[in-house]
Amino acid sequence: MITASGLRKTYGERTAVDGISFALEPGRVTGFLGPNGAGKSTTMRLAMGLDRPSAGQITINGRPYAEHRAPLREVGAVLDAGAWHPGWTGEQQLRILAATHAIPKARVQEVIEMTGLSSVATRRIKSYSLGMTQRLGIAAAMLGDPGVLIFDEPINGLDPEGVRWVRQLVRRLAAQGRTVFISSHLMSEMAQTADHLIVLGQGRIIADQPLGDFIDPAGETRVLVRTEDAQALMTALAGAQITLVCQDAETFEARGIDARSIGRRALEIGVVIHELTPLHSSLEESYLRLTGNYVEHRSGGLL
Amino acid sequence: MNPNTSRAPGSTQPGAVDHPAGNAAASAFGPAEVSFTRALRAEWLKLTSLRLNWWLSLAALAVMILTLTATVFSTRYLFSEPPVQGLDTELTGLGLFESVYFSFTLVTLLMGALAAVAITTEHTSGSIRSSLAAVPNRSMFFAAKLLAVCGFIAALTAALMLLCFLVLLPLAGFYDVMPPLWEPELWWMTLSNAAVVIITASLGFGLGALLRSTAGAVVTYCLLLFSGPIALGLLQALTDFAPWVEELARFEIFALQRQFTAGSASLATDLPVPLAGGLLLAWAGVVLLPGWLLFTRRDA
Repeated sequence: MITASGLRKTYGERTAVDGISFALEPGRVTGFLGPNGAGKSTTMRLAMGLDRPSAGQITINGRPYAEHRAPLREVGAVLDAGAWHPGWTGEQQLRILAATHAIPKARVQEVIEMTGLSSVATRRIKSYSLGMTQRLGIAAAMLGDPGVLIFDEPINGLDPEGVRWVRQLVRRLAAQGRTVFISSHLMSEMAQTADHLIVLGQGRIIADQPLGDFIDPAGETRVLVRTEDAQALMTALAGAQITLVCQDAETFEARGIDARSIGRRALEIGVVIHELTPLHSSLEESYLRLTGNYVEHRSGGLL
Repeated sequence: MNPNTSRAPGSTQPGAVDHPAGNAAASAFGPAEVSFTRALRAEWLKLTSLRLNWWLSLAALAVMILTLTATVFSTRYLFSEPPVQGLDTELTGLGLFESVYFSFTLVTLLMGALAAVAITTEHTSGSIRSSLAAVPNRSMFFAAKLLAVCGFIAALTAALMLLCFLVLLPLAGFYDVMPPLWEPELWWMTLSNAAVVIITASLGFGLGALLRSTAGAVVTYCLLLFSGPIALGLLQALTDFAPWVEELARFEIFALQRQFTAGSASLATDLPVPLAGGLLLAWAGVVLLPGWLLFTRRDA
């Protein structure tokens, strides 16, 4: 279990994390979302004791990370792909970490095999691709078989097969009763992986709720309608609470009215409908709607 | 252990099967916790698995081989028959060792660089994050790394000293100037020179912890060693060898090294040997202490 209480971190004048509090339960995957610079990585670094909080505290299984007597067995973390010395081999790096906890060499081989690094384990890390270093990070995180896992964007650089493997691994780890805390900017992956979401914006928590609750309340009823008499049906549906967006001569999107009401109105005016599809808000849409005001680094227009 | 976690694509091991939650599975490793001994072992593994350290060690070996070769030839020249005119130097076995040990100044430079790199490379490569994840007690980490570095340097210095003995003892025997092995002078000279290498190199470690930059630490280390004598030389010239400058010169690092390894006060102005050794340690402490304090307090 990871618990943050009034956690705050400032770098000079800039506040990276602004007094956040949350509790992550075991047995579920908690997704950590937020725009760039929202404070996600800082929060994870604070959890691992790499940075010192300016105020408040964050504990893992009731203690600050540094106070655990066997930290690798309590917590496994993938904080970034560059946390390795390029001059060591992957196997050397894992053996060095294992030596601190007297973890047997057999376990090192096991995590190497588990992460599919066997063929490159004796190569120097500087020759690794980004995907390989991510796998090495996951191997290191799993080395002590910990009950709490912290993954900061673990699928960056992974190929589609690797992404699917991480997704399955993360789900399985949570199913085994472990606490899994994962950040990512890939909403489609997060939608398939997370049970619960914490969303940060400019260092503050702007949502802390189950994934289903996060998506549904933010969305509104939308229905895709396809008919040969689109104009007639749009005229018949027009009303104060209804927004109609024409997509082409035969297709429009209706907001503020459900599919059943559209079908009934079409029957009343004798219009044949070819498609009537309720559209659900995606995690991405809900996220963008929620974080729109918290984006610090906004992209320019397309060329 | 956890044989049941999902396998990555490409893995040859069997697929996933559920198993109890992490901590229960972790108990299969036994009760082992992070300890100083284990942290020290990990640091030793780091040092011995890094190529740069072996290159620096080879460079130190090359310095010694060159020095010993030069000593063999110069000794042959000094003892040539008929004696070289104008050369009335009386060569002793101890003198042979003393002249070779002088080259440990260069070894000290190389080992200072090695010590600095041992800690700066953690920061420059980013591996400090995985290191502190494994050993989050920063004082333990700092002490284990320092001890491992000092141990590595001590082992290398011991090997170089052994090489000196293997070359110089037969040489001294050949020219009948064998130093008395049962008297303490030779052993003090050997041990104190080894201690000087380790203590001085630890300055590099402290600077590495303070500056976190390899280039910055190595350059500052060299400046610290060499700027003292240069600045004092200039001051002596400018002040016409004022007594306060002479007094100050006794506390400069190279001067302390000489006073410490001499074994007895060879000059009237020399500090007592234990004091010289203590002051050398103080020099190391002046850099190591703030290095440790900053290391334990700064964000990684």
